[in-house]
Amino acid sequence: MTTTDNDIISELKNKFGEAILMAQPTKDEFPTVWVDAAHIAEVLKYLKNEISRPYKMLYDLTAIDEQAKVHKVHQDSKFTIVYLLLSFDRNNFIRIKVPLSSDKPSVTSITKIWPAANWYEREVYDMFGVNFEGHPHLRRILMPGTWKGHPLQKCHPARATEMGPFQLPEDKQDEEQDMLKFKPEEWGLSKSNNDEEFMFLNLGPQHPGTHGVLRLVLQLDGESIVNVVPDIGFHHRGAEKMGERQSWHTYIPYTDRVEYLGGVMNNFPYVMCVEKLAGIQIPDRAKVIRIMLSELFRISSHLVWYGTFAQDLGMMTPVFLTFYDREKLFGIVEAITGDRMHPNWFRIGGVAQDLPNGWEKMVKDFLDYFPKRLKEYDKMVMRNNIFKARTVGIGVYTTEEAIEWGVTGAGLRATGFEWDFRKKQPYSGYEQFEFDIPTAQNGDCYDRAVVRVEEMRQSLRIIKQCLDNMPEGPYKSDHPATTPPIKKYTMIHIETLINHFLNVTWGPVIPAGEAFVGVEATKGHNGYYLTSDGSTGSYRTRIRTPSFPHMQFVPEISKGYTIADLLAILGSVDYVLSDVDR
Amino acid sequence: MQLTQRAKHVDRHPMTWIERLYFWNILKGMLITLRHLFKRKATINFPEQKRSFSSVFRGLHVLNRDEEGRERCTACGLCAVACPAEAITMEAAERLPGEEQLYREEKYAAKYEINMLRCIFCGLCEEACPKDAIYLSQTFAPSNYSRKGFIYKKDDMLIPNPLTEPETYKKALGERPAKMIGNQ
Repeated sequence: MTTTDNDIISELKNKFGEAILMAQPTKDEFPTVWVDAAHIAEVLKYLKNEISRPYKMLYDLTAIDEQAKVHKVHQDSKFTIVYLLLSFDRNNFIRIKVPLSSDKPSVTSITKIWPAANWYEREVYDMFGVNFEGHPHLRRILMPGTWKGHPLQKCHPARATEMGPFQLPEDKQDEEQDMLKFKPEEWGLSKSNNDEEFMFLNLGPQHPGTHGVLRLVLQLDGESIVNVVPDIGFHHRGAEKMGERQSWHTYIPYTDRVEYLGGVMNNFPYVMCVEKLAGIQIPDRAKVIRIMLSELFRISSHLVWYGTFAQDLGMMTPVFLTFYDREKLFGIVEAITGDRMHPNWFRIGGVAQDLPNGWEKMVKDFLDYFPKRLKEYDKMVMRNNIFKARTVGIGVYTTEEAIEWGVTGAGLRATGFEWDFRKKQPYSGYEQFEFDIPTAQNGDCYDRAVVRVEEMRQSLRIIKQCLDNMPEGPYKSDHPATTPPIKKYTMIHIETLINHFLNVTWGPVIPAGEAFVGVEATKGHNGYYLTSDGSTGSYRTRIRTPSFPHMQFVPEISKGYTIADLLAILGSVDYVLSDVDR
Repeated sequence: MQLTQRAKHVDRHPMTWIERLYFWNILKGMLITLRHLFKRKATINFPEQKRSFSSVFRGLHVLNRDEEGRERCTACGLCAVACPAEAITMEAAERLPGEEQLYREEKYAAKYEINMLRCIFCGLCEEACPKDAIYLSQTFAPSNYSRKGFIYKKDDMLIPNPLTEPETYKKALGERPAKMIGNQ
């Protein structure tokens, strides 16, 4: 722990005394403090509002079911609530943990301090059954309302086959049917105000403008939106629960599918987090290969956004052109990784294979080809009057609001705030690359688009530098936890073969501990918070995705606009439903 | 109606009727479309035409033979353990005297099945295999009418014998040597 970390911990201890239970060293070296449940609201309020250089952003809120854990840090805790706060002034995180030892865990809601805590607390309630006192609308968010049990509790089965055959007797069918009835009050919506009755409209779950299975319940006064309530969870696949079943190694393909437009960008934080837990140093070549692939995928993801955003606003042509370019990128990705959208290519300790012969030419061809296309899109989309009329001044928010609601990525930079994790907290060698952080001023739909377009150009710059300076050397570390180990001698030496067998059957054993690693992903800041209990699989896998808070923020920025504007806002936020629901 | 108090007031003066036609913008859009009419087509006529796959493409599985035509698989089960989707099942059997021409090792896979509906084509089985007995080839699983049809048996995946059918063996091998170099 560095001295500044100790400062904040001792400051908290002086201020709150007994309420601060202990400090915990973690592998990510974030200051981590256990706080008594009765005082959590005041501690968080102090950290947000009163302390110098405050922690303004509620970055993540989650829980851990400690009941099956061997290496416990707090002996009596059955459920631990974990708050992760981010301070932009300090450029650092702080992790606050609250132990709950009762069988019916309950803690004070912090929605009054951070409105963004609303969905996070609902998720913890849904997944762990933890009650939040004072929460305005505590009900399930990801699971269906009729679901029995709380999936991320250790006692809940992980697979359908453990739950017995599915049956639908009549009473259950009635219950399910009843659940589908729309009652505005249950959604926190009123039927009318003094003057008039509102109209309710479903947008989705099957609507091209929602880019996936998302249902938005619109409360309308004429055509203008009074309120929007997103209904999420249709894309929930239990990625976090699967992390507890898979070994460290075999979970990598699942990360691909969390934000399916980002490809290797999802492997990235996961493998870096495991490497941090295991203390693996990555060879330079692997680092640069990782960066190059990530930036290719950033462009690929932005291209999908570019085309579909223009299509949302009525332009048919760009989506075909951008998808054509994306196909070119997939050609490179396929030649390097062997697959297109789900490359599953980063490994604990490096990457799966070395770059193929002739990769330089493919990348170079793309670098020559793409800027011209970007210019054409600028002409076609960004400078188009209709496009401007639909996006300028729509869905405006300020930097303060963005931080309040946990917005990261291009959405934050569009408000004029220069914050990119690749620059501010460089990982995997990003500090050695030369690129700019594009920002805009107004924080409206148009500015978010401008920022993303410029990001593609910056990504090209990074790829160019990767191409020119690709280091020689191994693509995988020779650390014993590297999985699978380098196969060169496996079929020759019995010793290496034994090692190979152990590493593939059990997978590496990662020492007990916890770490969080995040990357500047395509949609915002994406991070994995892994807890190891000293075994071959993760004890708790928490995936902090950017789209979740972004989706929560959508109602705040669409009130008062029309439905057509809402579609522009949805397009400009650039979310993926699998990223929202996990 | 102003609900939020935060919408940025942009210049929203009523457009003149020429602007309202968006004539220039529409014309511009049409011109772009027209120009692309004469460019090279981006699509191919599948299934008459097939696109080429990269040499490391992760498609349908192939069970490999050695140069003498013996099955390489020794039924150690590493692929099944490494499979994140639990798509692989196998049964091992002991090689009997006189079967040395068929199986390379003393133990072999009597039954080997992959459920292609479960498979996610991640390639971890190939990485796990210590015998170079399974690899993912440059084709993908064709469609089928029944679920059963997607459970691929050993015979569906076994590569042709290089001694008896050298032509088809070579075709099935694809650009495999390049891939093996990449693996090591």
